[in-house]
Amino acid sequence: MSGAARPAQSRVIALRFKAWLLAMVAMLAVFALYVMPRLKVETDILALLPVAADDRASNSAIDHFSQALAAKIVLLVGAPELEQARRAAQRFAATLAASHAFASVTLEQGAYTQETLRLYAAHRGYLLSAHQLRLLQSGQQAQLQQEAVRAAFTPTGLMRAVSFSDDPLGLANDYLLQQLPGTGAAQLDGRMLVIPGDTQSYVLITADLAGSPFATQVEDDAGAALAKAQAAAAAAIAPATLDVVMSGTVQHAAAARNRANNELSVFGTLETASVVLLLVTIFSGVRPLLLGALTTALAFTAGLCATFFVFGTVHVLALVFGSSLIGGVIDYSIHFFADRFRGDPDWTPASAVEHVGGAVLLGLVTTLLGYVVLLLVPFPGLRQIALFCVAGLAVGCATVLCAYPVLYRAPRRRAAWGPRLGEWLARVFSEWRWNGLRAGVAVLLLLAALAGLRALLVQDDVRALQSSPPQLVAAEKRVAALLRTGTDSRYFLVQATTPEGLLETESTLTGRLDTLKAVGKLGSYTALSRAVPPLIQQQQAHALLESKVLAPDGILPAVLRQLGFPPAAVAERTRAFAAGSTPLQVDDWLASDASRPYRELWLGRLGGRYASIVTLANVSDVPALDATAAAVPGVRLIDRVQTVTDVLYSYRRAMSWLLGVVYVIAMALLCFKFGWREAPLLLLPSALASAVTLGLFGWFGVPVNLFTLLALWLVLGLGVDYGIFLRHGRTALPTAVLSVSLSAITTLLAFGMLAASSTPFIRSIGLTLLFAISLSWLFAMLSCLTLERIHE
Amino acid sequence: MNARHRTCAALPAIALLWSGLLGNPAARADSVFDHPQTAQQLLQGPLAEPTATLRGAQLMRGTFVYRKFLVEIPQPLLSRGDFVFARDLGIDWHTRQPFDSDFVLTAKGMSQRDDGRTTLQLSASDQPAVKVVARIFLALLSLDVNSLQSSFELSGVQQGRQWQVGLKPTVAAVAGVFRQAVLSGGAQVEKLVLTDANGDRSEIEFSDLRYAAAIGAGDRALFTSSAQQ
Repeated sequence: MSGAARPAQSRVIALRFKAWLLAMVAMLAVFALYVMPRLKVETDILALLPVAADDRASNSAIDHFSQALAAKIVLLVGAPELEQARRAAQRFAATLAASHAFASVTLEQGAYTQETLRLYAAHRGYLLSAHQLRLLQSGQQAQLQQEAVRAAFTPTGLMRAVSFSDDPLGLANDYLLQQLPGTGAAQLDGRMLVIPGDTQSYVLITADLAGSPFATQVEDDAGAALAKAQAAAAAAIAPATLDVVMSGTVQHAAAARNRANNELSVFGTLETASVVLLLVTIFSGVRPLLLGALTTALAFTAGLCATFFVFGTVHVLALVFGSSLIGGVIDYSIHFFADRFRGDPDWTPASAVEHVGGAVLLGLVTTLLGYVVLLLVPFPGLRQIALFCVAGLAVGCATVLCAYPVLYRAPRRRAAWGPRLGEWLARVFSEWRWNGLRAGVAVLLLLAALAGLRALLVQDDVRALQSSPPQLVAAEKRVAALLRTGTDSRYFLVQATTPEGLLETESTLTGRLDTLKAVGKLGSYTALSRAVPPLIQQQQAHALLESKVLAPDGILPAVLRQLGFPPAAVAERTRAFAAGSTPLQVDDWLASDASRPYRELWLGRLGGRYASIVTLANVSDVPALDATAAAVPGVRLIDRVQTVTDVLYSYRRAMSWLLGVVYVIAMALLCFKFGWREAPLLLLPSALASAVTLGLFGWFGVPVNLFTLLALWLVLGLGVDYGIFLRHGRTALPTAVLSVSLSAITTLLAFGMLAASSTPFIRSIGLTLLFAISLSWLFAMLSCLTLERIHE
Repeated sequence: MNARHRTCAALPAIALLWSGLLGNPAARADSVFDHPQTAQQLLQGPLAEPTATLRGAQLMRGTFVYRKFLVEIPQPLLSRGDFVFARDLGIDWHTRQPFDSDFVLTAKGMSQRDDGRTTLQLSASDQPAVKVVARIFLALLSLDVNSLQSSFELSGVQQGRQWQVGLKPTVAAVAGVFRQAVLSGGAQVEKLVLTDANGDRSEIEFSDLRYAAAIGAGDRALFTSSAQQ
């Protein structure tokens, strides 16, 4: 260093520090005041993935419906006696309703039948059930007439919701039967839906959350309200006899979040403790520790802020990767601190930045390169992770380069530990001599490991990648078994440019579904066009009613005459039937309480098109549904589970190719910087470590998925980092060895622990890194410390 | 609907086994509602004897006469036939006159066969309204007032061995089926009168009641072979 350069250099350092300080204060202020209160942690693996459809309108329709479904919870409040269950359910529902965590809580069913009949009465000149419409269309009015007369003498007529003389032909009844939503095993008893049983009876409560089940606040409020409601219900009867079973997204979301929180805090604590121990023993003094902690915290905050501003939510997976930033960012600190052991008597923090700055920046660029490619992929989850890491790593690196020269003071006492460890490792590897036997054994071991690639399994099924706690899964199963509704996760999305077009498309679809139902390929379906037939169909019904039912020779006068009604009564009834009747419009229906059970099926106008949903139950032939969707334009079958599995598959493949591409780009970059002879030696450790890891997975039967590849992405950056540092530090080898080994250890601590996660896709990442990072380190050390000499 | 007046149809005297004690049932049917009772009170009072009769039996069979009084026509619509009521299975209602029609009601749904041809088939799991109606009628015939009290206001009177039990719906979903019901009898159920909101009335009289402690295979088949889903 020349004397003249120093003041200029320290001015630059001071300036850089001030700029950094300003930026960090601003970021922390934004984080604390704006981001923190609004932060939402997403735990659904589906949120990571591109949505099912390829156009905006369908996506927003699917989103809408998924959100409405996700906000629903179904509760069964059970007790040995039905009366107790009713009492408990009343307390339960009242407590829930009072909590404000729910937008609605339904225990008592409304006068739904009455509302439907009121709506029918105003439009009865235009409404017919599908069954009766078919009879009239095919000229079978004689059958309708005979059924009507018989119903007057048999219990059939007695058991109708509309009395015989008000509805002699059963038109209102048949229409009503077609409207009522199926309740599975639940039955209306009084105002409640109940499932009576010999040893245990249940009462059904449904509720809608006041917000997204993935919002932390909503989850907490709902959890607290449910616990309170359970306590209140238990207090209303003998507490031990209460049995509440629940089904709903919110409990899975809460469980996933709690589990992620627990794991992150346990892993984070262990990891922090180990890193602290390492830093304190090797670098001595508290300053490295405080600086390391500061850097990590700032990097994490930066990641959170960036993700929040771009995506609105932060996925738990991004948090998991974020926690790995501790490893990545600490690496930069380690390189900086370890530089002190170079033995330069004039060592200052500023000279350390000068010495390692280049390598740190180069390492950062390779790592960022990988993430920037991920940013370009149209895959929300990967982009979130990439953005989180890019922001975090950049801020972490900036902190090391800008703040450390000012904030770090070398302790007077020189710790002997670190250098000694570095020297020992460097000696072990430097003294290694390759001979025929050693090389042969090494090659054989490599080949044996790589042979495992042939047995490599892949797992793209989303259900295998996300698991809920068994007791929640069991609860869902119990609810489904008790209710016996068999609702399928697949559904039809129907779209059209006008409401009338939508109803017509739906009715074409339901016609085909009726056929599938008749041959047992489908249990049942729910469609709003059953309640509001398309106008064209209503006009057909009107014409048929006029000509075949109400006309002087129609079946209504015939039935009434046959039963002995006086001619005046016959004329009066026939005249009154359709008087003042108008066609039923979607808006009339939506405004009536009659639409309540179906309202979520109507999505309204989204992205320039009208959309609705047709739900399915007890599907036994999926290809038939696919064929149905293909045959009706404007209809598509949405199968999120299958779509996600397909997406995972195609992205796993795409990511494999992209990884190859990134290796090629990195190779070009490294060739440019280090020349074509050294560049392969820098890349080889990551490439080989990745291949061997996959080979070992093959041997051990660990399946590979998209997330394994994500981890291999990380391995590329880290492995190259090791190589660059070892190469860069050739002048002070023990220091370089020490800093690379320490960063490998911190990364292993950060990620290796994820291998113990109970969430399968996080476990995949952990397991991959555990193997691949250890191997990258070994290969980097071997290639830089032993192969180099062969070259020389 | 146009205004209706209450019919003054002459009540056929033949079936009124208990009319000597209680007088005109139409007049009486109104008064029973002046005596509200809980399910518990009914079971200990008026229904003590008939429920004891039923308790030991798994199966009840007999004949019925069904009259439907419509306000606009002078003569009731009349049908007769026989029935089998099997505990936990349901009821088979076989109309023999004026035509042959076999109606089966179980907790799972209802079906009707006319001249051997199925003309009606409603599954309770698809049709919640069917489930509600099935539950009410099966409970009425088995005198299960405990399960009825959630949907009805109960009342009852007793004179000697003769009794009447009244039911008025408290729940809108049930109110459409009938406005009020009166069950009556002595040692056993003898008559059921259902009145609609517009004054139409259905009267069912049971006779030749026989009980069995077990359900035979032939009777069981009535409920399984009728193509119930």
